[in-house]
Amino acid sequence: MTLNVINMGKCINKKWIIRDISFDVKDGECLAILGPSGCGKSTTLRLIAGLDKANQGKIYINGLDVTNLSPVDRQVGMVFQSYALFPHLDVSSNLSLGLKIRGVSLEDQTKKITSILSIMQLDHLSDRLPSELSGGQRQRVALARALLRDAHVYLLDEPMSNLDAQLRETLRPELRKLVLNREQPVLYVTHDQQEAMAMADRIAILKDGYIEQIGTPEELYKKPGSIFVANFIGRPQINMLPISNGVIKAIRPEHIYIDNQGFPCKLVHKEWLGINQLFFLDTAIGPIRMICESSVSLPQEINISWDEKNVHEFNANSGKRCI
Amino acid sequence: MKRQNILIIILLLWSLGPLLWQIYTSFSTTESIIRPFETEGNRWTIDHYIQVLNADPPFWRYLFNSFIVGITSTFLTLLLAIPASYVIGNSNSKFAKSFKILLLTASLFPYVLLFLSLLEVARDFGLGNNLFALCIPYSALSMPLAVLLLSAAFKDLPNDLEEAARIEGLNLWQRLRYVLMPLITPAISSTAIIIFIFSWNEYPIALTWITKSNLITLPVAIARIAGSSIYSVPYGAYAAATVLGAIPLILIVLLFQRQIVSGLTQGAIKG
Repeated sequence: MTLNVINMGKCINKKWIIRDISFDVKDGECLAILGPSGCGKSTTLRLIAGLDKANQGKIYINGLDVTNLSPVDRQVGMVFQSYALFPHLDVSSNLSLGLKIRGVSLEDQTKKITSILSIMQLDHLSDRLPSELSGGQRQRVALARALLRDAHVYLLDEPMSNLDAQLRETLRPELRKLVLNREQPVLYVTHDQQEAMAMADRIAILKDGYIEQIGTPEELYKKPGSIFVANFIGRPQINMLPISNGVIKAIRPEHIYIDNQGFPCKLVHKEWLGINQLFFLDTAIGPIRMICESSVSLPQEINISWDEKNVHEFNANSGKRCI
Repeated sequence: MKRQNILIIILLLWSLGPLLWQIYTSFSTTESIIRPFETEGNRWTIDHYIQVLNADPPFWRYLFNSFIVGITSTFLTLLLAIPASYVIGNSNSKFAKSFKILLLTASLFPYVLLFLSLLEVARDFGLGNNLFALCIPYSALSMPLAVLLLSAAFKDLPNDLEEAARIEGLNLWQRLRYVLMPLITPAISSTAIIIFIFSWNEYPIALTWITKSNLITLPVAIARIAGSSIYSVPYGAYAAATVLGAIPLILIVLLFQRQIVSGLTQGAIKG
């Protein structure tokens, strides 16, 4: 089962929200759509789900052209950012409604619901209303509902954004295990680059409605295709050096080291992050961030350096990567 | 006693006073009605009730007529208003907006001005002396308010819910039946009660459309009691009839009061 999107675009009031979006997601592959808010991530997902109609391009699921089909006929499973659980129905009714409509026998309904509830560790909550559940529990119910769909494609719209940071981290491996071990393509929309790197096999970076770059997390980190991607991927943020001869050089904070032969700079500020620490340095070429082990203690005046192989070069006009 | 309690009591007396007086009158003998504060031997009686209930046709017949008209108009209005409200509540188009303004204008129009022309319509289409025909103007007149209330309720529902239902494979009717309507039940029941009360109380149309005495509705019947004699006004019987006519309404409102309040305030504040 695969998902192919070709030149997809959406136009509202003569303004293109997204345009020329093309990508493929293979069986069991997870593609994250990553970008700042307002870049068209959710629109992309809604077009694939069939909630909105594309004004341009084609969408294929398993080779079948679904561009003009309704959401029902596309057979997608979707987790909404708000979870969108039916507030008047208890957990098991939330799960059974779709099954009932799709004509699953009562016996099979019970069987399926019992098994998914136990996988999701929700057995004891089956008769609760959504309002009586915690955020994490709601998220699991929403996920269970999507999984019961027997979908050809799974779409997750910021499934973790309503959860607190700690819960997010605990749920990440769980979510991976539950969704990504399936044989269907998974599309995962997020604005959190860390989450995208953790969950996805490949990431598509969206900017102003266009795909800026698409690749594995490693590719995006090691060979960012543009200044935007370089800034977006990797925390702490990459250092942008001043323009010279129409070229902007960039170096990641983790690739800078202390070197007495290097060039001088002044320590302005530091953040202790636990495993390492982040130094804010003032240099002749502007401010620079540097990461060091947490045990290192630095004087006010230091000299730093970096290897040329770790430097990224971008065209100052287009913002694209040189070479 | 706190000042606000005193204010509440004054307010209660103010609004319940006429009703209490009507009940008081209905149980008073004809002689004591004209001397309300005198206490003498045969002060109380239930004769007025017996008189009203034993009249021909008996009083319950009017209650039944009004009930039939009320239920049918309510059902007819909701049947048409729910789909219309769904569309208006979910649409952002200019057409829907201007339609809403038109409805608001219609709901502000004094309907009493319409009844003469409606009478012509009834005559031309042979709709006189038919309880179910009476439901047509009733639901038409209730429609604007019903659509305004219900479309506000639909508008307040998060879009995600309906979209989740679409993804789950529910068609339009199933989405209304299993997801949307259960969620706006408060609005639906308060709207239903408003329509019911309107048709229960409506007078000019009922008076002109129905002439057969076994088909008349409650307000017309009560007016007939009041005007039954040229030489005296039968206050006692009249009061008894109004009390009997009010009881079903009070019961319904008490039964649904929680829904009414939450339904009418729905849409007032964004959650």
